[in-house]
Amino acid sequence: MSKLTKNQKIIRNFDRQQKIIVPDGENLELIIVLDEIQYSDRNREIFVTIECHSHSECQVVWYNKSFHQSSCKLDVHYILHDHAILSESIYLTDHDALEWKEHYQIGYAAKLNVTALFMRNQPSTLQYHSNIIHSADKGQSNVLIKAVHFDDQQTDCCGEIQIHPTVKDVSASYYNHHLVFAANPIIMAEPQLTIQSGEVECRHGVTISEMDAEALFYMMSRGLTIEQVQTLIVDSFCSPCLNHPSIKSLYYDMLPRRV
Amino acid sequence: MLDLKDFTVKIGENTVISKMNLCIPEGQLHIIMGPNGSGKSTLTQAIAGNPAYVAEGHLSYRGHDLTLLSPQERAHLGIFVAFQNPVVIPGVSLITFLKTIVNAHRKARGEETLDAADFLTQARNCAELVGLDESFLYRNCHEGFSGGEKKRAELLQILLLEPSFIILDETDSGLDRDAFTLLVELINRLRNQNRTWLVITHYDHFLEALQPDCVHVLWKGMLIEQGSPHAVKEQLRVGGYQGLASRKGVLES
Repeated sequence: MSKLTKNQKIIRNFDRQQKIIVPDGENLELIIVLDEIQYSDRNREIFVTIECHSHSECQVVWYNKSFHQSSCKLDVHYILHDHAILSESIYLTDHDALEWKEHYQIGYAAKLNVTALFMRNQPSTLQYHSNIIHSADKGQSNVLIKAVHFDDQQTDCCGEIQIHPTVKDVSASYYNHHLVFAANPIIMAEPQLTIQSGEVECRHGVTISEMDAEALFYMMSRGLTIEQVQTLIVDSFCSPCLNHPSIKSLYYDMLPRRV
Repeated sequence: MLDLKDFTVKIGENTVISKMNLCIPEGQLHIIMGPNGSGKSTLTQAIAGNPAYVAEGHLSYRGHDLTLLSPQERAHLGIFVAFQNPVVIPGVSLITFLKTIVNAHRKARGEETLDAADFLTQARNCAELVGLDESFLYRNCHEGFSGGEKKRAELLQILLLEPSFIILDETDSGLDRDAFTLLVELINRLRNQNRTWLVITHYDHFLEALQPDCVHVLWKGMLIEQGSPHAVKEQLRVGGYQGLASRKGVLES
């Protein structure tokens, strides 16, 4: 198969209702920098539909560049037709309040990969819900959500996977991991699986873990300061989500502020 | 030289080490033996600076008052404890951890950090020396490692960090015969006049293999005997630790 030519699109303006189509066989990269977006809607409430036609490839990257605070509501619908490939990468530091719902409809032999990394530095509220529907055979979906909690805040990350009864040969995974440094964050993390077919492979897992005092001492006894230990742990925790160059450079640029 | 005078260690309200006096001169290898619960591991944790262990009295290394130093400052002085059961560090590969600690030591000494390729070559060579398969370098630190593999990973750190004072906390426990031979060879190879050792063990098989400068016996937080390997072995031959404690009049203390 010949390699698809990649087009890149940077989105700076959002209408209240936005529709983006990736035509048959095309390759599109969408970069959406949330703190640069000009919202046409005063309530900052946006409905986006991204439709990936057959054999297309789409990479969507969402991030914010600074700790700039803003609140918004995002409702994003992805439609993947047969053999479409969608890779979504999310890197977000704090928002005043963010309510984000993502819906994915996976077509025949379509592939979805989502990685999301939330750096929770300041008291704020984040609600990130994803809903994946496998309504055709041979679809794949892999979701990996990670959050680092440096401050007390409320985080609600729930994910739902639905697999319809007649569907076969589907593979789906949903992992949601939280690393906690704050004293009293409120974290809700719940995978919901509605699997109505027997011929599928599904995996899911949720962890919420704190820095262990014995592990901290062990690493300090090897010559690391508390800050070095924290950086090592956080970097290792986050590295699976640093899969896009923009996100990787942004993550390391923000490192001094984080620690 | 490591120097302890009237050194007491408490965990909560319990006194585990009581007014211990111990001096290990530079370049020597001392062994501390004792039964389960005698305070051997507590002593190593306190020397390493674990904040869960409250220490009182005098504890110094090469003239530095260790009680004033954090665990990482003690490590930068050259103190290394090979722990009995090193903790799992989730999500951090062994190679990443090794590189981070080696570079932290280099930074503390004012040296440049190691090039990634040079470090990898060094780590692979050292892993081979301690009999740790290279694949373990890429696994999460200590996660799913057997007891023997954890100990080899600790020895690997010794080779990379080249500490001047090494405490082996029951590193011989649970090792098979070949691994024990390898451990003894490694220790004997690393022994020199600038490196001091404190080896903690339950058993006397180290006494002949290592030919230590002095052997101490710890009983309920007190050093009740010290001497040459031959003399201590003779003392323990009749009645073991309990017999020795009884003859010393400290059985019920």
